[in-house]
Amino acid sequence: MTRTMADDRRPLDASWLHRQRRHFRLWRRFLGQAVVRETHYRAHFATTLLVGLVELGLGVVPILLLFGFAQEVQGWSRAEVITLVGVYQIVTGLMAAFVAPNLQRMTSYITEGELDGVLLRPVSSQFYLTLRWINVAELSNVASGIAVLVIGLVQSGASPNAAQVLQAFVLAACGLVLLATVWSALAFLAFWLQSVGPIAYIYLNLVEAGRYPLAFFPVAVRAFLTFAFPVAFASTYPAQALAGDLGWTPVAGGVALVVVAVTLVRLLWRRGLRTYASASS
Amino acid sequence: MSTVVRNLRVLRRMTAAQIVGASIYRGAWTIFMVANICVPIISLLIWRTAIANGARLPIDERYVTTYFVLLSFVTMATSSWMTGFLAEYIRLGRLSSWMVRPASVLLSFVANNLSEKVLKLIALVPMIGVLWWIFRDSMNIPAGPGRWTVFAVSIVLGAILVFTIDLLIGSLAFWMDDVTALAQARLIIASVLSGAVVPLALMPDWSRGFIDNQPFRFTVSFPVEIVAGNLSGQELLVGLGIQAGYVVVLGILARLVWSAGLRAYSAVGA
Amino acid sequence: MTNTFEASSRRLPVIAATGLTKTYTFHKQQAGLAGALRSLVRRTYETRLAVDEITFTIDRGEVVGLLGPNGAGKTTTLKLLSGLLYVTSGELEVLGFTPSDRKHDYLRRIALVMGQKTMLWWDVPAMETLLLHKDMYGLGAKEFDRNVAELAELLEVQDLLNVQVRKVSLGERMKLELMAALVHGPEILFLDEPTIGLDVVAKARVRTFLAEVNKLRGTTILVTSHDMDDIEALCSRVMIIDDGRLQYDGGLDELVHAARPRKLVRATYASEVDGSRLAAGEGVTGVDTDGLTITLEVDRERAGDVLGQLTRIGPLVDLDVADADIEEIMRDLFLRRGTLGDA
Repeated sequence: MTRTMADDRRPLDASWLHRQRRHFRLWRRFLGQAVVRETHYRAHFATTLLVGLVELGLGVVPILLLFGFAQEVQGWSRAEVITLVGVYQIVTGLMAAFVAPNLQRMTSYITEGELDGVLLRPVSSQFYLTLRWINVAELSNVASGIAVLVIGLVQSGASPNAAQVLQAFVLAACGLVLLATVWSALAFLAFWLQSVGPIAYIYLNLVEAGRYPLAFFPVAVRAFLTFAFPVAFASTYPAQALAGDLGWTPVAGGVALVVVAVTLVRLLWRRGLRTYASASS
Repeated sequence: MSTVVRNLRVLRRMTAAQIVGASIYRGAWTIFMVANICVPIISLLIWRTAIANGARLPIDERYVTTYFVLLSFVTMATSSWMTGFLAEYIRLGRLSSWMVRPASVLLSFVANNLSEKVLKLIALVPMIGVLWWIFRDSMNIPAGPGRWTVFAVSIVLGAILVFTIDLLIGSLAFWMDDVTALAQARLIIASVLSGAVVPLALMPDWSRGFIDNQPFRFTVSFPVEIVAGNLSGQELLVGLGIQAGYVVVLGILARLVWSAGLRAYSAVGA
Repeated sequence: MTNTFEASSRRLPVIAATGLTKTYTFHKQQAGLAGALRSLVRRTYETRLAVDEITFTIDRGEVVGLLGPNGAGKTTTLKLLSGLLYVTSGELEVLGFTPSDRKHDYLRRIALVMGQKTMLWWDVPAMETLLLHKDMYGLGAKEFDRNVAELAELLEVQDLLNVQVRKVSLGERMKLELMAALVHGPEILFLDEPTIGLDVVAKARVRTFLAEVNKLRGTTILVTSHDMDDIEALCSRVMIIDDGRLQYDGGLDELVHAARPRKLVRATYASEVDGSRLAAGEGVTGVDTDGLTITLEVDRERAGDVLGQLTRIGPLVDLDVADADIEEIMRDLFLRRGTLGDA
């Protein structure tokens, strides 16, 4: 066949590490622009903050009522469940700030051909599609989550040591990544289903289960919330780690699950892209 | 031909047309309903666990189970989602094209409400059926058709009530630039006070007098209580009376606000 | 950049396609949930040939127009070249890369602008998009500033860079769009209907700019357009794709010549005349008498005779002779599909 030629240029990334650095720099630009944008919409920030606070309060209502009728449920005290709600609020707040705004756009990316504009860029398309848009105002929910977490810890009198804090941190990070992969997987179904708006809605309702300890559910549901829809890593496990009831085994399990989930989503993404590139016109 | 009959004919035609139009999205409706039923199921499991753990609730397991199994059905049957759309009609001046027609724009909103509700309930009923079957041993099932009739009447009244509240808040767009924050606040308040999050029977004692008589109870909780709870005949009658009262009072209020709004709208134009 | 262009030019093409073919396979899905479930079990596939064994090469610095009716395969070809679609069969190499691998080192060397789709971030100034591209394409600060300054001057958009994109006019937005596409210095620019929806002045600006970019930077440009003025102004070479096949590949002049364009004649008289005799003339077609006006088409060689006839048949007030529109030529070509092969 006929060969072609191009200008001599230094490669875009000299190494794998350079490539990651370029992507990180790009992400920092996303964040910077989102912050600037948010300052133009102060009303939006105020509304998000207020709605977030009310929703947080509302989420605590069933728990407060529940512990009005019982001192302890399945070995969980009220203060421990409040700690758990704090962790849940932080993780879901991070999701809402960094991941959710992107996956909500998947439908329009695919049906309106905006994906073409992304595929033409010399960046990882999955990275771009998952992290391009940031809703800074949602970070206020992370702040309120931290406050709730502290209240819960103080009330329960827990004094986690460094190892336990590390465990909780790693578990919560696993929870964040796992939730993001689950949502990505649901969003990537848009390659085949065209519209995934309602599916995102299922996610938002299912994730509510994370407001309660795993132990509050029947065994089958616990397995579902650990492995299939792993919201347990975003609330129950980190809260248990902070209470000191958890060893390193669940942490290792969480990391292993992350590896599996990320690999699967990566495969799904490749399959989807393949479908897109051979079917779109 | 009387106005009422003509309007009813228009309504029937519009509803039929909207059902045909909206049924294209039945796949999406089904998924929406699956999502809608998630939170009641979560609540159901939580409260059953609490009871199994010896929590001393003022209501028993049968009440809790029946309540949450029926909750998503009643919430859907009485729901309304027109605030945002109505506000948009008013703000963007789309109302004008309706004002030259011999039928109220509200008729189209009623038609939209009815048609989507029919489709959503068709998707929802089988799911409720499955839940019912799973928990059949701990469901309260009222004997005789009497209670079921009252249940149905109460749902219709509840639906009118919700629609009226929606209309009231949407109408504020005649005077306010942005009603979305208000609409959102109302949704959040309503979710607690209507019993959509926690059965109102579990609310603390000090709040009883207020909780039992505020209007939102009659949008969701009251119809569910008719089947799930042990309302006495007298409580039932009083409840229906209050519900009807709210429908009339809020209905008159909404009617006044709406016509005042229309007058303001015609005066200024948009 | 310009130096290497001078030094290494002309030895190898930048785009080479051999027997390039693209078929779409899509499974027919019955409507509704039941249909969707059924199609999970048993799928009926249909294929459509969008690009059919196209072979061509494009050299560095060429500006090539891609023509053809709607659905002929132009956009598909552009998408294949830019790596958005996988090749079904045949071979395709661009700048030493296989486009569909979408290697970052390939993507940084090309740009695609679609007239109908914006790549700009709508509610912030264009500068923000440019800065995003700076990080995305790993541009150094100096290189970035130089490119921005140069492009902004050529396009006369210095004042627009810090205005919200939604607030600028359509024509200005296309300029910003081009700027965003070129800020990383691509070697090949793919343009899909770049002037669609623009007014005459804006169209002319865009054309001038593209010609300048091609001259200054040696950028290879492949452009599809419905606007023949675009093609006439920019392209020395055109490729005509119809029904997925390459029907013509050559100079624009040869195309016009090959189509043997005719003259359009319009004669206006002071009193009513009878033009029916003209129709009998050799090489004359489309005679239309409408009261005081006669319009007709005539072969180039016979034009003199016919003009003479026209002056004789009545009191001539006005006479207008024009070349047949290039769009007419194209339409003609597609109607006489296939006759062009030996042109």
